[in-house]
Amino acid sequence: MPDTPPRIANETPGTAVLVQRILRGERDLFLHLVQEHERMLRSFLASQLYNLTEVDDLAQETFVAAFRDLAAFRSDNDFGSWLRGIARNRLLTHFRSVQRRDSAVRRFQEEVSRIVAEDLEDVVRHRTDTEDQMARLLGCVSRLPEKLRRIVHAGLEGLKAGVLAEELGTTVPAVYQLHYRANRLLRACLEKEAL
Amino acid sequence: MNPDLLIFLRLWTGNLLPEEAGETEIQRVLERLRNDANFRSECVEELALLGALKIEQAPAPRWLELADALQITGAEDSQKSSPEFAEWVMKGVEAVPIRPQEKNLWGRRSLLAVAAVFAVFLGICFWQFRGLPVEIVQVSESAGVDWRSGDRVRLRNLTWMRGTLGCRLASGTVLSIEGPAELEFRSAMEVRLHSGRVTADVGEHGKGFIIETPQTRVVDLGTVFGVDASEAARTDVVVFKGQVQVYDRETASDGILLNKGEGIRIQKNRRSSRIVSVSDTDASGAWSGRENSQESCTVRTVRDSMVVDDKAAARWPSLRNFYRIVPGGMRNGALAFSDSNDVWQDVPPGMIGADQVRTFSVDGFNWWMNLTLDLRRPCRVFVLLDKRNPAPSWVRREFRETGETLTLDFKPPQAGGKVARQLPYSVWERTVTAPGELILGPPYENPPEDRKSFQPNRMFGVAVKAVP
Repeated sequence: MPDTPPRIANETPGTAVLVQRILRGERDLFLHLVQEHERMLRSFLASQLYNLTEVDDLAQETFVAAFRDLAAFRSDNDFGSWLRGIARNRLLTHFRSVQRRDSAVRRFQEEVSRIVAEDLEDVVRHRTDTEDQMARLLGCVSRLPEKLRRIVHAGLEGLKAGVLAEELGTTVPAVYQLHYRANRLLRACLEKEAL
Repeated sequence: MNPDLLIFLRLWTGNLLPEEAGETEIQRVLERLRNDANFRSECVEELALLGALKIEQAPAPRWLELADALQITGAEDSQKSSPEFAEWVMKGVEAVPIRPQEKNLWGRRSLLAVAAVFAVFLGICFWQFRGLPVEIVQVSESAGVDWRSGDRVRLRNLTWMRGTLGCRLASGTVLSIEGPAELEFRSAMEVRLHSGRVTADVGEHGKGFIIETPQTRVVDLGTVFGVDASEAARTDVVVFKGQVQVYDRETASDGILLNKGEGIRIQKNRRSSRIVSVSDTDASGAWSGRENSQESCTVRTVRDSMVVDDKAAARWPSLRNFYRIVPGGMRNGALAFSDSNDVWQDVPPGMIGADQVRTFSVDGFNWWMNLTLDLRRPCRVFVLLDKRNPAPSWVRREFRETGETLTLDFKPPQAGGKVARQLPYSVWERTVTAPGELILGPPYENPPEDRKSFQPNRMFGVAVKAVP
């Protein structure tokens, strides 16, 4: 392991080449894969968990597991898809492990996760330019009307919607309605930006 | 905004608690999510965008936790930037070994070949067109289906009429399905077994794999296990390796933990009972919780003198153990007991290929229990005894010591798969001249006054060979 972190070349080699080189002993190159897929993976997990602490825990577990099992990755497969497969298994195990503590909510989340798994994978897989899209997303958020931007920034987790409703002098369902409206504007903005 | 979408999002983000929404409302929303493709699509779009927004607007990941997971020392700042995260990963994975590559079992046949296999499908089973990707790893000849090992197919609902089908799911879990069976592949991590018998060999990524039956929900904890829902009114669950948790589908109970060598039968009325013996029914790993149907096997069933109902099983969890009948299973390297990793070595030539009864240790009950073998034909019955302990009187009275010995490679769990000790066992033999029941006594006859001076009170081994 060098003292300084490995430098990333301007042109990242293809995933298949990277994996082969890592397996041959250039372990530092795993850095490229982590950097390339980190946001996609966290975003994928956040679309099924929403709790950021849990998302990060599972993301880190997924990367370590992926490194350990790198030899099992087939070069003709999509690395992101492979990562999401590992993440999905970790997610299901996670649901089981926390079910006792918080059973009703967890059962609901687990069932939702199971039902939407295929559709969600389709949505994520078809975002071929995930990183670009993520960057564009922030730009689109910044162009939202102030009230909507405030709601999107705050998020909806747990009691936040209630606090936000009080702050804005409205109701919780209205906050969700506004967030929904913001999401529609964001999607339209992303489509426009992609053209 | 769709009112159901509002309820869905409030539930999912934790703003609306399930008890506030009510079970009926939750089930209605879930039902719509399952069956209404437009609604599901709308929900998925929202979830995907909410997830992306969450991450884009969140502070950097908590790298310290990752550093902990990777056993990195010296990480003090929990809010490091993204490039630093990657550096921590690199330092962390330095200590993580890459597992050697496993044999790639996905077939290399072209899609056309798989399509051809579909075309010659004989109508014994059917599936919906859009299903989960599955790799065929084994098809018995008796199935009458033109699938071969390595074929890749998509399965959703499967009716498998006869023979054995082995298939690997994307999670790595290998299912062995014995016909007749009817099941639904719900995801790479979940199968619904409407009827029939399935054995699951769960790989590293399959931990948490679920088999659901009309009565139970069996959740794997890293294991090889079998589920039999052949009879509508009951489900049998047996564990060959590792552990599973068995939940009642209708109640919110904590479930029952089953370890290696344990089994449970859940009736429709939710009462549970012990599965006394499990028989291997063919070389492919097929099994049955009922009598051994292989006519060539000398042992039809095994039972003992312990009657276990759900009350007793809850008090003495070890009494969920089963005996395992393995036709022709006696050989060097064969597992000796159903609940441990101990194996037989130096098996005398005359015993090789004998039908094996894998017993289990029932500490605390050994001194009074009996074991009854139901034998199909005249045979030689071998009882294998730990040489360090005196032979019980019933053995000395009814059996003849052959003078041969074999070795038990003792592999306790803490030894990590290694042989901790090699224990000599003596061989005792008796010839049974007619079919019928043979009662074997306890491994020792009186509760020892000083347990510490007594050697491990494991059960004896049993092997049976037909008289030519």
